[in-house]
Amino acid sequence: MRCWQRAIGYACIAVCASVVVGCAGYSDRVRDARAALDAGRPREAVTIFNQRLGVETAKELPSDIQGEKVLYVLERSVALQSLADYELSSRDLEVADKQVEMLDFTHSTLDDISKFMFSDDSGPYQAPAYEKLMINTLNMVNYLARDDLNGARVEARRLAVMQQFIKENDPKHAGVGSAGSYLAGFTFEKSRQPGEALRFYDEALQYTDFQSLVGPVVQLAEQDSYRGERIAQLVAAAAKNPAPAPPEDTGELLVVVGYGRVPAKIAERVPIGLALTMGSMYMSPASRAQANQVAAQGLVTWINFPTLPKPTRMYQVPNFAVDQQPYTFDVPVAIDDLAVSAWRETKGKMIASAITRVVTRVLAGEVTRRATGGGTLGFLASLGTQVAMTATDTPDTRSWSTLPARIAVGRVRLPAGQHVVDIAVSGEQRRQTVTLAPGGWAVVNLTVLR
Amino acid sequence: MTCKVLGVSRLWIAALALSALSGSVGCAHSTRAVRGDDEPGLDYAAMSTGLDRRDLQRMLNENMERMRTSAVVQRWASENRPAVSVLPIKNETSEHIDSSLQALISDVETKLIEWGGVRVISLENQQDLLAQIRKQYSEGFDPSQVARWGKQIGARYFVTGKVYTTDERVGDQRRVQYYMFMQVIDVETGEILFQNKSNVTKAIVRD
Repeated sequence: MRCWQRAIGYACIAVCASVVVGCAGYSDRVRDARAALDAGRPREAVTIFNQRLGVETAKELPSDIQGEKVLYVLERSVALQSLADYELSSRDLEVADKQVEMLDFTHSTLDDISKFMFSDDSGPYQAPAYEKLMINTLNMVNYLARDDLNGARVEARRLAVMQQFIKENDPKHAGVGSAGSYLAGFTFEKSRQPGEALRFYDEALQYTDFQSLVGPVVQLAEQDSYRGERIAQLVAAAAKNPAPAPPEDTGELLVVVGYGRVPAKIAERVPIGLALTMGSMYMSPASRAQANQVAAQGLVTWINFPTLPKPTRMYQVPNFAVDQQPYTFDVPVAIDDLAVSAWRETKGKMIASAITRVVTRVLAGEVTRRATGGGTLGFLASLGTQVAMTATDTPDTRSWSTLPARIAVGRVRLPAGQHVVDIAVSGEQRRQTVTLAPGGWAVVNLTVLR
Repeated sequence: MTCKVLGVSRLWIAALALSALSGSVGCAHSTRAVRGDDEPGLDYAAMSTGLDRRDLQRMLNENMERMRTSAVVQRWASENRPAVSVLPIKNETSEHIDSSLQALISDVETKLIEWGGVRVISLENQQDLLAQIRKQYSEGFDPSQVARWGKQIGARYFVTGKVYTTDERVGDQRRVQYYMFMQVIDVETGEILFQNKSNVTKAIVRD
């Protein structure tokens, strides 16, 4: 065999090998876990996430939470919450919280370049605003379900720091944390810090009409002078129809339900023409001209990029009963809508980077062809270059895909003593007995990830 | 030969460049367990914005040193070894540092014992009461409970504290300023006989 033929053979093997070992997208790697959750088997989903993390059980964390592992930890935390394993869920969320923050800080210009050059999912994962706020929100649920106000207060403070950061840097997303604000308000109310509670409730009411807050806000306003816009309105309305103070021998029950799942990103192929229509405004004039030229020559026909499938599911309103007496939830907070709107905002940029990468591949192939002297050898080398670059290019389908689509809260004042709480959501039911002390409180949670 | 020198070597260069490229996209790490004694500076480096042993010891030592030279310790000297108990230190921060603060209770007790002049009554053996105190802390501190706890424990004074934070995130940086307050409380009157504050700042900054 002639030397160049042997060399081409080796090159082809190398290219094929890189195709074989080339990574599937994130959504492919969590597909099995999502299927398990769809089938109502969260325990199986936890096992799959454990495998992805390289650990035997959910009690373990990998020694090194790098790359996608932070997402697997986040994914596992919600599956653990749905199994009512609040302690381990808290541990996962706290570890992931720190890692997500560090990833934000370590993100560099080089990462942006590599996103445009090599692969959409190269570089550290940058969580959108709603995901960051959901870390503290879900962890507050974990602590409140365990009757731990200390831990819930820490999460509430962390939420406040992040809310403030988002308000200052990304004001249009300031409202994504209304469920968290409600829980933070509840946490401070039960910690007997009425001022803090009112501040959080004011924030929650700014974005969601939580009817269950009317009574508590009016009572808290008697203990603290804080008057945000919504608080002032409620207090003024209550002054016209004053309600009696709650009897001392009663307690409060808060039911927090998470159900459904936010849509998970998937890879989608669209014709280059359509992609250019959607993404060209995010490209520089030079890149746009280059892409148009490559498309016109027929060198590129398809663009692969991540997308969110259209939500097709209608969620039924969950319900709950206490001692067989039915109660209603407040209007649920739609986390899936937040995911969709966050995606819409980055969609154009992602398509633009996908186009840029494809054009880069074609140009790199051309450079290789010329460098290797053209002809058959040049053609094969060019092809190899393009195949290898394609193999390393995966659409960025990374997202926290086990987040519940909706979060609903229901709140009832009940006589002190033992009560049986029944919750029904997404075809799953849970019965839990709670004991309320006079002036006390209890939080019951059900998370159903389907 | 030209083929060998130019064509093939170029091809291999291209293949190697691609391999390097693929390698740079993924990343491999190796980890190992280390011992603080074997790794100089391990205990010195800040790993996060949380409080580590060094921060806690620094804040505690500063507070205890102030307490040692305060009027309340002189008063103890004239009271023939009054009974003192150390209550949990309240976490009012944005970090989950409860277990670290729990560990500080023993450090405070150790210091008090080293000074002499007081009898230290540990709450370790009174878990029910400790749980009650923690719950009370959690749901808002009620000063009227202090006298009741004092009687139950048999303590004349309580040493306690709380840690607060100012937590800010700006751009690519996060700064957490910790303030540790330590107090000595007269069980009978609820009067604060000593109070001191020490500070530590932790941050994640961009190099």
